[in-house]
Formats: sequence, structure tokens, C-alpha cells
Amino acid sequence: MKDLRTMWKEGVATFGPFVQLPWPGIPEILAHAGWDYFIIDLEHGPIDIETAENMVRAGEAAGITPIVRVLRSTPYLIAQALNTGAIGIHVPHISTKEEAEEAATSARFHPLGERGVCPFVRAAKYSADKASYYQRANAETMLILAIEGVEGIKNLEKILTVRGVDAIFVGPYDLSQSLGVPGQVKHSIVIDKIREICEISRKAGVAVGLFVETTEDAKFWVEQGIRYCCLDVDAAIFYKAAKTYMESLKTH
Amino acid sequence: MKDLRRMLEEKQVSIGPFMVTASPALTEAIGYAGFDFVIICCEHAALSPYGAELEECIRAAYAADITPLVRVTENDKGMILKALNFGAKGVIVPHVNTREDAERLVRAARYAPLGRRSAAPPVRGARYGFVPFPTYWREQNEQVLTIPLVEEKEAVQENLPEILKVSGIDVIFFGPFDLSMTLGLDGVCDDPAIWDLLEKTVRLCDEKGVPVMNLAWDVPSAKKSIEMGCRMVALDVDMVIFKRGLQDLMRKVEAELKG
Repeated sequence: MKDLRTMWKEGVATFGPFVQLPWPGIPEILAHAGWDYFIIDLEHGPIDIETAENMVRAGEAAGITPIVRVLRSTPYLIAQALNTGAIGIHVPHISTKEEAEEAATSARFHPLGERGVCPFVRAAKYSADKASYYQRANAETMLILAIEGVEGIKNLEKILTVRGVDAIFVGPYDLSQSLGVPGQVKHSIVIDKIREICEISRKAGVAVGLFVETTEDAKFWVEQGIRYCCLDVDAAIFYKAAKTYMESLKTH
Repeated sequence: MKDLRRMLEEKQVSIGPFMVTASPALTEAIGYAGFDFVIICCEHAALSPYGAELEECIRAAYAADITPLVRVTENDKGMILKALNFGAKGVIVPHVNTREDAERLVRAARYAPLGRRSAAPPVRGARYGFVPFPTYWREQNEQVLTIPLVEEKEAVQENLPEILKVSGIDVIFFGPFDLSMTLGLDGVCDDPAIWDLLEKTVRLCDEKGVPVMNLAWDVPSAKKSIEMGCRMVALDVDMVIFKRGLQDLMRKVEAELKG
């Protein structure tokens, strides 16, 4: 399984899609295809926590790093997602330092935080790992905070002072809207703003993530410093491949 | 994950319980507890031999790095196919009584030319097609363990020499419980007559170079099986292990409260 945090520190760009199809075969296929991580999307995907755990397990077995995007920033939702054994927690809609602090506190055990304690969950190997569980979890859990609006951008420097933030994720569509150019993710003011976020975060030693939909955009943004490159969505990848297939059938 | 075939070749003993709770979590827990394999049971458990639930349990075994074997519900080529497609490292088929039964098992578990397992590349076992199919089928034909359960009087007392003539039988699984029932011994596994039949089974299998697996219900019966020459032991059942844990815990609580 890839150690994303180390890769980011070394300046290595990593790639993973959002996964909205509730099937554990997806992470296995992504692993076999050479992707670095996958994000189980509990915010937008029709996936319940039991299926999410099966998907985390599948990813772990296949050697791809499992990340969960929770529905919203709530302590019990963050704890529940981490209890499945997910390595990364991707928290949407963070706008203030206080919200960032609550997320950070929910994602880590004492002394770093106040994550709900239960040593019988999958993450603790059902109690087989009682002795080292808390330290290991604190050491390996990655926290990714999504900044999706003007307020979050305004507060970015303060948010970055919160201890234990591994990456800042930017949603380009929300950002374009907040900048008054909805949907124009390649508008120069959007690009400049993302560059600015990259620069501020780089100074704070925190990686930056972005959602992109094409390999061209991925290449462009990796050159601008994006390290947590969230490339497309599983269903959309399938759709595009299926469409290309049909089109090539028609042109032959 | 332990390579059971290699362990058998190197005369090492491997041990694992039945899993009848249909639970991916308990499959992992069995792995963490240090067993060599887990037998995912579709014969008696509330676990469909066909679908996603079985695949989930097999996947959990991979995650906890424990070798998954599947006991199918009956000697059915579709069930054997599914278990192997999902990634089971071997299939255990209950109530194999005749040479024809054993031949049917081998036919279902091996690709042509050894058998007639149905071929499809995009299955979990073949990494959804990421393993080139010629590599997959060659590896499968070399590695999959086909394990008939001989557990009826007819199989153990009469037909075993014939069953052993079937090429592609990797392990003979001796089933003392059903055997005891068919012999009119009321399901008592510890009856001397059953141990005698195990001894005879091991002798016959040894002559053909086929290793024997036995069912054990506690540590002494496991030890005795190994001493008698069994190289695989199916030790107990997850549900029974859980039940015993519950009873022990209650007994201790009661003793504490009284004391």
C-alpha cells in the first residue's frame, strides 16, 4: 500500500479516483491497474458503511490506499469511517479554523485528539492489535480537508495552522462558483486562485489536492504543484471507456 | 498466505477452522489468530454458494492473509466454479462416495484438458482479467486443491481404493461425524471404530501418496490426528469457538460473583 504522506513530502504526485459504485471489486481493479489510492465517496455515492468496510478491506488486500470521504464533518462519521480501517479521511466543506480543528480532533486519538475509542473494530483487527492500535492509528491516519468556498479560502492560512492536516483539497467547481465564474474551471482567476492555494499550503508544508477529469488537466495541475490528484469518478471512467468502445465499433 | 500445496509437499501440517458465520470480519479474525487456512462453509452455513457474500468472505481471507478453502454445498460444477472464480485456493466437496463422484469433482475443478471447468477471464481470481488467461488457467490447474470428503460408510469402507484411482485428487478429507452416523454410532467421532477407519484411510492414501485431512473438535483430537499421519486438520468451527468463549466467560463471571 502506498504511503501517500511520504510521497507528498518527497514531491511525488499521486492519483486516485472518487469511487461511487458500491462494489469491492472496484478498488481491486484500480489496484491491479496501478492507481495509488481510491476515495470511497460517502458524500455523493450510494454507499453504506458496511459496504464501505468491505471496500476498504478489498483495497487493503490488493495494496491500494483506502480513503473515505465522509458525508460531512461530524465526529462520529469520521470515527466510523476510520473504524473500517481507512487510512485517509477526506472531510468536505471546511470553512473555518474551528471546523478544521474539530475534524482534526475527531480523526486522532489522545494526545493528538479525541477520536472515539473502540479497540474491537476492524481498524484494531477486532482487538488483535490492542497494544499498538492507538499509536499506529495516530501515526498512519491522514487528514484531508476540503476547502470549497470563499470563506474557506479566506481562512486558509488559519486552517493551515491546525495540527495534523496532511492535505488541503480544492473542489474546482465550487471554487469557480465562489469566484463568480461558475463552471469555468479553466478561467484564469480560478487557475490563479488554485496556484495561490498551492503556494500558501506549500509554505505550510501541506500537500494540495484537486479534482480533475482528464489526463491533460492532471498533467497541467501536477506541474502547478498538485500532489493529491483526484482523477475522475469510477462511473464516469467506465462511461467514457464504454462510449469510446461503442464509437470505435461504429467507425470500423 | 500459506501455500498449502507446498506445505503438503514438504510434509508440514496445516490447521484451520470452519467458518459458518458467513462473516468477513470473523474470517479476518481467524486469520489474525494465526491459523493456516479457513474453510468457508457453504454446506451448512447461511451462505449462498453462488454470490457476492461468498466472494466477500474469500476477499476477507486475502486481506488477513489466510488461505481460503471453500466447502461447497454439494458436488455441483457451478458451485465449484464460483468458489474458484472468486479466488478460493481449493474446494472441499461433501459426501463423495464413489469414483464417479470424485471424477465429477475433478472435472469441475480443472480446466481442459484435465477437466471441464468453464473458462472466463474477467473474474476476481484472475484479477478481473489483469492476469493473462493462459497464465491463470495454467496456475489454477497446477495449484487448486481438490478435496473430496469421504464421510459415509460406503466411501470409507468400500470405495476409497477406487476414489484414489482418480487423477487430480489432492487431499482426502476424512469426515468422522457423518461417518459415525452412517455406521450407526450416533455421531460419536471419538469411537475407537472411527479412529480405526482413519488409520486404514491414512494407510490406503499413503500407498497412493495422497495426504489426509481430518476433522478435529479439540486440541487432543487434532494432536491424535496428526500423530496418526494426517497432514491437514480442520479444527473446530468458528461458531463453536465463539459459543465456548461465551460459556467460559459466563462461568468465570459466575465464579467471581460467588467467590
